[in-house]
Amino acid sequence: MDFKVAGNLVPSVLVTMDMNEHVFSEGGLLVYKDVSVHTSYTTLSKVTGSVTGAIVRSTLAKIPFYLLTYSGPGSCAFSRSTVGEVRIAELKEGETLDIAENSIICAESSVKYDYFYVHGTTRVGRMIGFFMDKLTGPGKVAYHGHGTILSFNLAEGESMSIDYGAILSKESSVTIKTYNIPYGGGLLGHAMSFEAIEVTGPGKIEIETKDPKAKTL
Amino acid sequence: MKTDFIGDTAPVVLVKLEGDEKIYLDNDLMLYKDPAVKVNRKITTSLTNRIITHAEGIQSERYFAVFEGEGHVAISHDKPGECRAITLDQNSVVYVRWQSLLFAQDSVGYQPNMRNYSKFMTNFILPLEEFRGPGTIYVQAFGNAFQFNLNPGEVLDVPVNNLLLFDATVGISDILFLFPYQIYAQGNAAARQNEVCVLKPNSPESMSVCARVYGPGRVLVHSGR
Repeated sequence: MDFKVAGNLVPSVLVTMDMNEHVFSEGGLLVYKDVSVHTSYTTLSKVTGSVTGAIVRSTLAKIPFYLLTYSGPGSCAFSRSTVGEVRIAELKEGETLDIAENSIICAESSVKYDYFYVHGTTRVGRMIGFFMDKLTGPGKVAYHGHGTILSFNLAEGESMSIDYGAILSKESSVTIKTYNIPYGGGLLGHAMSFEAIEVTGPGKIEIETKDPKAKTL
Repeated sequence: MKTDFIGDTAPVVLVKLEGDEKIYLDNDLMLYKDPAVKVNRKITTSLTNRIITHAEGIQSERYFAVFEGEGHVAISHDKPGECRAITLDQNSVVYVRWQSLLFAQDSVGYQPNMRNYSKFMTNFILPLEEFRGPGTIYVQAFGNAFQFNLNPGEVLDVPVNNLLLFDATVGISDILFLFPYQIYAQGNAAARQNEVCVLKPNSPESMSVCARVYGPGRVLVHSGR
């Protein structure tokens, strides 16, 4: 199976499959496919084993409840339809990569798919966190960074504060939590605080420069 | 007429009109123009046709703006995407995704083309624009554009929102409803409404509707929607 990035503005991933090779993707990302490529579907609940979790995730994060599987032989292309960059990660057996919601483009069917929830700061009005997809190898994964992707390697115990929603991916060894950054001291400073994410190494993280929830292309 | 593409992210086409050259475009695409360039109007579709398309949920402009006279006109779609110039020979015809035109030379004929692919219990309209040569048209893709030159009998499945342009020799043999949309397409009234508005931006349901296109001819597919 071959993954290739095509285009630079709104990039696509071109997947070429032989017989009995499969990729899965969220619904709505297909750009084109050969007629020989067949589609089937499965649900998040079947993949992860939790009906409630899948419904909550679809409702809160607006992530499609269905996953589509494309089977070779043939070629198909997928895109997130927004400006950005695409990365292709080749995961080894047992290697795990955590990717932010609404960022995966497609993955080989040998990749195990799961997700977890990053809690919000529990502050009134900002209680809702976000989901991250957990992908475990072996196999290739393609994901989309909205805007430009910046990479950092964090040493053991090294921390970094990043904008809420700017996290794109992290190695599973990196811990993540949300917190409030106050505007200075005092009650007013705390009242006007804004949410951020703290990530702590060791491991590699990638952040994206465009808000994925922005309504622009 | 001379044209320059300026910028990569949200590109502008700078057109230099000479003599009595004319171009037409949607009136909201002009970025700037020289004062010497005059603007007129051109009827694109009959009032009856407009009422019908409006009833089907598709917003259609009744007029194109026609620019004529010596000077510059800058034209932009205000969105990221590749621009392509398509030169048409005498009587050759291309179909373009609704509202993807940047501008066309006045010698190019135009008419809206509503393809009806309704089936039992579904109501599916594919709104296109037909351009007939001779002359050149300029279109802009959403994102990157990929060109396929299909040989006779070659087939490709393209979600309708990703279909940018195709030659008149290219046929659409079928409209495929991919799961989960196919369930809704079997009679849900709300889904039928979405089918009609299939080219509405940010409509994820419509991405599950594929056109099966077959050659011979040129097909342009774009990565955005």
